[in-house]
Amino acid sequence: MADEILLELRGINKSFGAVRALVDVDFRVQSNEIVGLVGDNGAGKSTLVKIVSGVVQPDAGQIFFQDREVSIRNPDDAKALGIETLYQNLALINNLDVVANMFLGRELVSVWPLGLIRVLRSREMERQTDEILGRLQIGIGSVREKVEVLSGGQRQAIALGRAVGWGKQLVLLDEPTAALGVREGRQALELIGRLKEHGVSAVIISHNLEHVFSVADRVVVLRHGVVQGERRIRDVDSNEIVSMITGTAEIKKLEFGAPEGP
Amino acid sequence: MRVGRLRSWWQRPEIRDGILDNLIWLILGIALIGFSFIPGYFTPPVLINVLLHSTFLGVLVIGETLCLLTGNFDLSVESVLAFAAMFAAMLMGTRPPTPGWGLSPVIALPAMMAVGMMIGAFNGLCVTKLKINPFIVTLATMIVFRGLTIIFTMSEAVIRFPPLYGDVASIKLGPIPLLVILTLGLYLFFHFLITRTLYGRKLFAVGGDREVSFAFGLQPDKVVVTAFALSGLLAAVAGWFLSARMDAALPGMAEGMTFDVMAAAVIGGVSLKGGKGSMVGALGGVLLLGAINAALTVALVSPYWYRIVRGMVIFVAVGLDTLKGRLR
Repeated sequence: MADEILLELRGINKSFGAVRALVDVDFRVQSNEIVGLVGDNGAGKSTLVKIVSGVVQPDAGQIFFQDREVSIRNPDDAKALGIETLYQNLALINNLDVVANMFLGRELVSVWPLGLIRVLRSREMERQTDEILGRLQIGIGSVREKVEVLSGGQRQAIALGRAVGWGKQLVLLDEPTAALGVREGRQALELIGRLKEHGVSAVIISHNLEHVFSVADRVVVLRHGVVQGERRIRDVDSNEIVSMITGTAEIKKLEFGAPEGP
Repeated sequence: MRVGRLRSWWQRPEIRDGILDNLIWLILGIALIGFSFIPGYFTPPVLINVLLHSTFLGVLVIGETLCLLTGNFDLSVESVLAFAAMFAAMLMGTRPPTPGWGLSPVIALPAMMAVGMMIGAFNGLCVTKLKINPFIVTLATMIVFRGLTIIFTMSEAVIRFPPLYGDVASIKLGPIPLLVILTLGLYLFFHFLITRTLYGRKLFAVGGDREVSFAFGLQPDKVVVTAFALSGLLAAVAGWFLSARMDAALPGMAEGMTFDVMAAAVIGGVSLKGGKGSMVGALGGVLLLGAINAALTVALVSPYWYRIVRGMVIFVAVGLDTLKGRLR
């Protein structure tokens, strides 16, 4: 059961103009698994996540979800598969309140006769928001507060709460701890770690290897849009991952191998 | 103890934001107290006149507010108003030298609304699909449709409308003109639309952050095009109201009104950056402009001063808006 493959990407390519963001990337996530996705700036991590969440379309490649080939053309397709995303820098809408952010794109409505007007079920959404944030032990004063007046940590907690609270199968987390202080960061990691109790898998992108090591089962390293390698967390130390990220492992290999040229 | 209670009361977002977002009504109240010292101001004819003159501007401001909430704006409303009115007048008209088909208002009214809506949708499509700056797009349509209005009528006025079309401006319920009640009805409806419906939620979301809205599947382009289409539709409604009131469609009608429309919205706390504002506030802005105009008229101030006073009001309103940010 635990080894069942939830998501599999095969041969994903994506270019932005002349920049090859992803080159023949194979990537998979098993059910009940947390995968760390690491790499230097511009390695293609965010692009990979956006392809799975439907924001970016790959130029080539296949996506399989629960052994079925799927096409994720837009964020709604991803949502329908049970995939939720916490985007880096694309998390919340500041002029809306916590409830509106929590239900962004999945608002509860009652359709009025004629079908033209869809009225928001505000009270129900407020109740569910309280419930979800309570369950995840995320404390904020009032869910009717506009997000712009909250602290960075509170905002990140809400964005994380939304992804984790709604994710039924897979949660994609792009830098979930970047804006957080030490204590808040630890709470966020606890939250992510608890995902597995609910049978939800996750992909976590982070520059903080310590954070990745504390929650992930497996690490995949991207470099210049190419999968550099993957390791089980228990088989690897952070030094090895760092050298994979920076490419020093490759350089070493070259030094020990046959010298190029005459 | 008492201060503490006041503070916890202030910290409830719905109360604090409710007060801060409706500061305009406080200003309006203070202004009216000031104006009450002008002899002859607080009389039913003057006050009803303020309301009546606020209807044409008010209807345009509703559409403008929708566009502003999405982070765009619509300069073309004054020309769409004139073009739609002239279009209807020509459909119904019979008098030379203007050509006319002598059609019933039953056809002319929906037709003018459709035309207004299509011009608005065209604006919206240029902004979203062709990614042209809304300033450029709506400036162009403003100029083009004013030109078309003048060409179609050979710069003549079309006067006298059939009853069904003109009655809207002559019917009164007691002392209150029907136009005032209709405009208030439109405000209530659009207040409901932007605060309680899914479309309203999307409007604020797209105006707040287009990229995030897209990432969460909100289809921002559709939201923006709809806002522009509604703005065009409401401009046509204003064209109906104004031409019915004057019993004439003039090629130069409402020229320059866009500036009052923008001013009223901004005074009413609608942000030019998108995502912030309310119909209640916008209505307050409209009424404040109307009240100031009437005060200047009743006090027999030279009309040359009107613009200067209105300009100052905008400065004050924007200054208060900045101050508001600090109070939260």
